[in-house]
Amino acid sequence: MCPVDPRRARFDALYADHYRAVYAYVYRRLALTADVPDVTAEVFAVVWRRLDDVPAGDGERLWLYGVARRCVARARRGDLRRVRLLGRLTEQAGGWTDPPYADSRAPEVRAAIERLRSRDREVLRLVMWEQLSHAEAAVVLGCSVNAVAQRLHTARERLRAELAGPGARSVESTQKVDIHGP
Amino acid sequence: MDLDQLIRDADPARHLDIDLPEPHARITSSARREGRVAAILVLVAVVVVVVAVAVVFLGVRHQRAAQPASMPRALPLGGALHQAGPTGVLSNTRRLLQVYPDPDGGPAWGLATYQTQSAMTCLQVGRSQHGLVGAIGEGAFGNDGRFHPFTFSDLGLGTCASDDARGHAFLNIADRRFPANAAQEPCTVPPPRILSRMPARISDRVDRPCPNRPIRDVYFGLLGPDATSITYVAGNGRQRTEPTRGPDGAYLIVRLAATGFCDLQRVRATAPAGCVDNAGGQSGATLSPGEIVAVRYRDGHTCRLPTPQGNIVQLGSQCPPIGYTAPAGPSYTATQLAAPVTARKLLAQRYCQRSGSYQPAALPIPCDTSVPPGYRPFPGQRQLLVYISWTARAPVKNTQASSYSYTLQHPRACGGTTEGNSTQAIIRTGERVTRPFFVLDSCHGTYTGVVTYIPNLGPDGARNLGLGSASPGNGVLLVGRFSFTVP
Repeated sequence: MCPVDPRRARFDALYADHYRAVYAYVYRRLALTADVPDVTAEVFAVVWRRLDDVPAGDGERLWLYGVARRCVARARRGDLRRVRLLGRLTEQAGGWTDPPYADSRAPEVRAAIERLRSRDREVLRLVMWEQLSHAEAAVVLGCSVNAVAQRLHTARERLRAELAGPGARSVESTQKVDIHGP
Repeated sequence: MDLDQLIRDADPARHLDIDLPEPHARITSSARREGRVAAILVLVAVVVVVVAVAVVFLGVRHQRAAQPASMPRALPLGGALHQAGPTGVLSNTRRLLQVYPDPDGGPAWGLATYQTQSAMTCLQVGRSQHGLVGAIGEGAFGNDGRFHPFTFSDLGLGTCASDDARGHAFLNIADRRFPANAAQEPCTVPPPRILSRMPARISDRVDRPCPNRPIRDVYFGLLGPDATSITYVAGNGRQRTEPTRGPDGAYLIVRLAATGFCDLQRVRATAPAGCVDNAGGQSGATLSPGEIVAVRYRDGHTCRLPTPQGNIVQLGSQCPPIGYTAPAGPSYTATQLAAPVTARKLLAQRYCQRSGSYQPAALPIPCDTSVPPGYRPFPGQRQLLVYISWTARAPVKNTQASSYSYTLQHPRACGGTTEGNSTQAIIRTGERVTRPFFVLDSCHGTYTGVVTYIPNLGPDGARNLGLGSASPGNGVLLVGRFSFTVP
């Protein structure tokens, strides 16, 4: 029987378990979809270099999101000219490249989300799209659980106002806003 | 519909069909596909290596004078690496410019530069021995303990930068936490900038397990012809001044990898140490704060940067690329570049794209009836593929220097979002360029777009363009506008 390199095995397990989640995380935040595979690869390159730092158990995914957050930030302002160029443009316009959207209101909602303040936007994404709990989002963002709840509340209210603004179709607000989230 | 449902529906990754590639599938598939090309390139590489070794050994005598007195022990020579990299290397331009002792012993580190036919300067950084730059077989190459010199096609930690009008390049790299053996082990996932330069021929090593290796922080670059010396914080915490080398003001610093190294801009207010490990680095013609605290120039002027506090990089002033001369190359007018831009709609239930790594010029195609060899399908329901085409009146000879940009504005009723991309490819004058967009076939209205040409705006030129930079103006030239309607 061939000996198994435990380091390699750990990396492979992390890769198999979390590649899709990290890819989706990066995809949601990058302007250029062409860069998503590379930035995801960069995240796992960091994972390989810092394999000993990856926490065990439930903390794996949160740690990966933390790395991905920095990799995305670096990609957005990094050494690729086209990212700088078009990232800014898309940030300004609130768009994605090649969006695979299939819902008629999705672009409008996305554009409204892009207009939120960055910290409100990020907590909204983490909780609603990455489906993190408030405690988990707090770990990724490095803030308190209360701060996450507050920002999420603010983000929802501002988003509701954005969507209900001039030219926007009304958004029914029949449900009580749950500031405690999932 | 309630707000939360709207937000969930707006998730751009909601319908994303993510393949789980093998950790190195992008490399292996590319290598397989380019196998025949690889065989030819290997032959070329062998010739290049022979020439390179001859050239380098001819220069060893004067190169050694630049090396520190405590030259580390010599290792036996191993096989050369065979990675693909820049093409058109002008072999007679290769120079070993800087050597820096490894903080933990063993062969020193070296920085060599060479130029390419496409007016780029490439930096090759790794361990150094006998005037060569390469990797060592400790934790790599089967732990053979040998020195493995790089070929021209392997940049090690380095990269390439476009030359200015006088043939000088400006680039500063901080590569933190890099393997001390300087080997780009294919068993790890390479960083994007390396990945983008290795289209083939390393598949034979991709499955090797990587041992746990010591790591280094490596800072290197080219500060330009006017930079005469740098002052940096040495490993003992004291400031040290050293001259730059060569016509481009080369420098190289190697440190034991810092733990918890961070940029202040990434500091979290709640982090007790006030520091978040970034495990990454910087890259750019402008020198950002880091280990280097001062750069002196020929005219006596000194550019000072904030001194890092422990492992925390302080934000503050930067050192611009002094001495940079804008390339004199052909300057175009919008009239010269103007070309009709056409939009061709291709509606299908299913679309296919080329398998393997991303290729900017590889167009997705409708494939309702069959999937062509080398393509894989992806769901395209309710999407409309649109080809945007124009004739290039100006070439793109160096993708790092210039490009065409194409953007699309969605109808206001569909959010009015803007998306875009750049061509990312070598383009000949007169070439018909076609790039794709996908839009919702249910999103009716008029879509408008613009194609622009982004000339060489300097080493960090695009960074300075500001918002809306892909739009005409500030040096960016209009090629043409287009529009189409989804009825």
